[in-house]
Amino acid sequence: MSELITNAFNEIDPKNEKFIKKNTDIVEEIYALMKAAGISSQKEFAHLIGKKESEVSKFLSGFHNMTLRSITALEVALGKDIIVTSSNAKKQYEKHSYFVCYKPIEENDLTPFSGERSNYQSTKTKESFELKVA
Amino acid sequence: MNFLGINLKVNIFATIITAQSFKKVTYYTVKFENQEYSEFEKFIIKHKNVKEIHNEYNDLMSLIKRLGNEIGALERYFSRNERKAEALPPEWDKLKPHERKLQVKYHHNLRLYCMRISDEVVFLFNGGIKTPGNITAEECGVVRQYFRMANKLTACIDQAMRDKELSFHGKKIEIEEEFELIL
Repeated sequence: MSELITNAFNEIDPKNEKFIKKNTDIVEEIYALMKAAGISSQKEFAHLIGKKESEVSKFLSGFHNMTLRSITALEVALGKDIIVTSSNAKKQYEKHSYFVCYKPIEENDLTPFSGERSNYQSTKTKESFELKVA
Repeated sequence: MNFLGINLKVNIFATIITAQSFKKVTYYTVKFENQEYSEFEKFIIKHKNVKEIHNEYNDLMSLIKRLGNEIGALERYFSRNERKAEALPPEWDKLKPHERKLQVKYHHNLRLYCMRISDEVVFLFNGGIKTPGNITAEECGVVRQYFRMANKLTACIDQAMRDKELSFHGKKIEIEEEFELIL
């Protein structure tokens, strides 16, 4: 691989990298919500929100600087939040109970599901994933 | 006076090289015989330090990296019809590979021509800043050369894949020994 290309990727302006990360997170969330709502094409989605397909295509390109107003319009059309702030997410997900499932790291470390009600923070130190049950 | 026209058509040889391999996508590019840099390297060298397109260039590189590491080269991120100004809203599934490109639709309209093979393999060629306005790449004096070259390269790669000289397995490429693209 070329050092010039590797360096170019390592030297991307962090502001742009973060912008694209957030932007593609939003785009992927919109696609997930579209799928959940049974919307299979940009054309169908455009019809639902009363926009031209070319405008929707621009929204979902990963580059477009979407305004809060346009994101909100999409949220209203889809009936779901696309963006949730961390404090609202905390309120929303604190209501849930979790099972914590431990992934064995070593061959003999076959610690099974703990099954206990667990605090999200306390499980962060172990290699684990959470299964939302309520 | 009569002139005798001789068509000196000289073959141009190019090799396929790995541009960058990420967790989910390997990007390839091509390097012409007797040239110092590959096509994608030329794109980087030309645009990296142009202040006027700082955001466009960095957004484009960020998206390539993001798709490469996290998302995969999903078709929806490459779906742009070059002849958009003349066409109805594009039907992406009907586009040929050379009609797809990765672009930033800003005032400066930086375009990088590429060929998406799968969610895991993409060829990155060269590109430029398309003249703003309702004109196609073919009508733009800046990007026309890159667009035409991208078309030639995709046709060659297509043909090589049909001839089984070139195949892709996941992110990896398998090339017949001593294979070269001949333009």
